[in-house]
Amino acid sequence: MGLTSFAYLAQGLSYWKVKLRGRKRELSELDTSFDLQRGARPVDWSLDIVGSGDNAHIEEIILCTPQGEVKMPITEPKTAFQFKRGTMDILSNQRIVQAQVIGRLENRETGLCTACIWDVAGHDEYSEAGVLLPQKKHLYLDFVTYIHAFGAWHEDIIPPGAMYPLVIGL
Amino acid sequence: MSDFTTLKSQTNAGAAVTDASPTWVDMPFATANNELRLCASGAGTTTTPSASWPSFLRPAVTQVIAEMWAYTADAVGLKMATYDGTSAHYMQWRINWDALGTFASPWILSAAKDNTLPAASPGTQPTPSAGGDGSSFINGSADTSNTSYIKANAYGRGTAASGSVQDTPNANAGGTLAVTTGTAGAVSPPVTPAWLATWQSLQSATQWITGAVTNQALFAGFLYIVLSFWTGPGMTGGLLMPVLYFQYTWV
Repeated sequence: MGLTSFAYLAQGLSYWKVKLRGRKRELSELDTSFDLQRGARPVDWSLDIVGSGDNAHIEEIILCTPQGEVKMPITEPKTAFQFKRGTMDILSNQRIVQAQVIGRLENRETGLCTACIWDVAGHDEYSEAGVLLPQKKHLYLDFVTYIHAFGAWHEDIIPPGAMYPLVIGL
Repeated sequence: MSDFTTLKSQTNAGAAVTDASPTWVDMPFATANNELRLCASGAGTTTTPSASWPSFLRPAVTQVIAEMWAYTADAVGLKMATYDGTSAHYMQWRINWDALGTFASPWILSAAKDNTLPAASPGTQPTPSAGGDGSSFINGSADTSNTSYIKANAYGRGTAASGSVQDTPNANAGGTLAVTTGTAGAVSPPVTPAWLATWQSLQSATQWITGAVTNQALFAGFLYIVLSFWTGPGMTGGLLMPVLYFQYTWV
């Protein structure tokens, strides 16, 4: 684990990695990329995955979180997606990252998808017996929803709604 | 590209500003003694220290809170001249984003009792001594038919999904605005563009406004919004500090 990765996770944040078919090395949003127009810059999902066409070659998408890595195998081209959600307090201009989402489109016609979510602030959840769990839940696995009406992963948040497929990688 | 470098709220503030001639200033509330204050009509001044800010007595009937002031120091404030709680204005606030970010879904506008953005408890007022957060505003009461005491309207999409089009209002919000106004779930301003015909209550994940489109990538824009704060006999008093928020996604 590199220093940047350690710093990210220590702040309670997550980041994505992908394995691309036919390539040994994983690509992460913490890596550095280069292009003639922008020079050296952080790897960017739009430019380096979607823009490059590599979203057709993703073999596995990984969400690296303070609670470990979540891996989602990808078998169909252009079915892996990723996005972040943030909030700006209008009265203070403070911005926070609320969540990061990776996922896999399961049905292109219906938009059915499976997602894994790192919720930065976490949420109080109850056990099946109705007892409040001792720690907030941050990691939501195998969340089933629709890409055209992405749902809320807990009751305190507003559903993100209709995701823009081309932007997120589909 | 990824997140926006600049994403901020701005207010039309100053003694001489109007809807037709706005002066947009960044919200200066990120440092100590910078705050937004509400008061009754005629009660505010430009030099009132925070500790002496006039109380707003709970009214016998519901009413709009008619003045909003932006303070940049404990006793240095500017009146937001285009805010009076009515629908007869169109330049009060705007969200300003740069051309470096890419939205992944439509924006969302809502309000919560504090910065943890919890769900609302519609109709449930806090105990009188609680104070300190915005639950009195957000939860509403029988006064509001359990909608929020904070109403908002937004103009069009902000920017269109493509074609580099900015939606900028030039006429008052108008529309239906009352203390009980509010629609369950999401409402979206028309893409015509136009204001919402009926104002929305801002109540966490219960009632909110969302854009009708995902805004164009790598295109700077503004989303114009107007607000109306209400109070009434069913509201619990205290130091009430709701959080208004703009929510968005990016890759």
